Amino acid sequence: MSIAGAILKGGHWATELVIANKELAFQNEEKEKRAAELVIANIELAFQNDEKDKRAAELVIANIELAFQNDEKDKRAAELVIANIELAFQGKEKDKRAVEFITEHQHRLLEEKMARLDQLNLMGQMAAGIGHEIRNPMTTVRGYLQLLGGKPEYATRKPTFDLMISELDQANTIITEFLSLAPTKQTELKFQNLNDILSKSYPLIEGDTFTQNKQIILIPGQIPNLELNKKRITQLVLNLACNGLEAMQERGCLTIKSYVEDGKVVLAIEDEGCGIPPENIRKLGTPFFTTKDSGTGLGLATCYNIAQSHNAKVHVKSSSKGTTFFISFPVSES
Amino acid sequence: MGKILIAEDQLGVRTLLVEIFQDDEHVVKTAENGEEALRLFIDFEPELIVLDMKMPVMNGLEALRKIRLLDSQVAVIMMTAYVDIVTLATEKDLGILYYMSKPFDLFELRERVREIFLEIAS
Repeated sequence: MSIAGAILKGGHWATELVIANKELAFQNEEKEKRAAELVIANIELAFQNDEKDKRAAELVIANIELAFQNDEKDKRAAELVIANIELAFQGKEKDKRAVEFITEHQHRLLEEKMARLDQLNLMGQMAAGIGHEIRNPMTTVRGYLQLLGGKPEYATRKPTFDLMISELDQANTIITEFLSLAPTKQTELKFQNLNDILSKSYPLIEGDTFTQNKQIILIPGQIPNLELNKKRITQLVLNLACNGLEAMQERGCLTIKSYVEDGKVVLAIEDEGCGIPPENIRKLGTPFFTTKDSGTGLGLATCYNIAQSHNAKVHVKSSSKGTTFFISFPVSES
Repeated sequence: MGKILIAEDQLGVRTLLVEIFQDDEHVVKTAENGEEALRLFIDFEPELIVLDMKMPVMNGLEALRKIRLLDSQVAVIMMTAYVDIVTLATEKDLGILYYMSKPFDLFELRERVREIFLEIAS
């Protein structure tokens, strides 16, 4: 090969090399471009996946909506389902749980309420039935205890006889409270003013208040007449007042108020005791639930029953500074 | 002292009342239901009737209504195992002097009976 030829050939190679290099460079660029496109595609895919989930959810919702469109009732159920699904997809799991919790809580409260009413009605019926039968033998036993205890030969055991009599009287108190759980008959309800019952009960409570070195205030408000059973409402007032007095230390003040609020007549009995622990609030009114040493656990149950027979609601507000029982009576049309 | 008719279906209460009234030297007869009480009322002519509200065959109130058709004066003490004295108080026209709520204070009943016979004697 001549030198010129060699140079020419060399030049050709050089050119080819340059071209090859350029092609390589191009290929690299292409690769990079593709790599970049791939990244973008991946990112898009990633976004699409989110979108897909969202669209899937929307599709589910749309389908459910479609399926339930004809029936209004079912539609509402569907809406609820949708709302829950939407909530879940929106990442508001917390909210959903809150909704579920509230629903569950309300359901449980309702169940407890129903169970309590059933319990009270059953107890009332049982009490009315057995009360008479038990009181007869008690009359015989109590009578003979009095007769024998009064005889000279038993004079040394007189305190024992007295103890037996007082135990029998305690048993009779339980029966009396049992009997008061029986539902109030509609025929026993008469139009009258709650304030009249309060002012008649007041001296009875006042006596206990002064003996215990405590105070009592009665604040009767302007209230319309209600359909009430005087005897049972008196019992309710006395029971609540007695509980309030027992909860307070000396010099504590018991306030009894009546007023109208939200179209209802409210009877509020407020004490300055140490309050009811939150865990016991829900158990209030359950027969035989008591925290007192000598309590029967029927006093408050009776109050709840009396309130119920007047279509009245019982609310309790309690703190370490005291407890208030609110009895709200619906205003009846005369 | 006086003639007392006891109308009570429960043996225990009946026995107790007989014992305490006889201790006080009254003449006592007993009935186990309202119908028997009505028959005995006619034959025995008591000055006081101590009767129970709830009895089989004929209850105390029904028996007393029939007795009142024959005699408006005879003294009556009504015994009851029911708390609802308020309802009973509406039966004023039957001339019931006292209601004794079971289980009652025996000495209180004895006192009431003494008062009634003192009133009859005067």
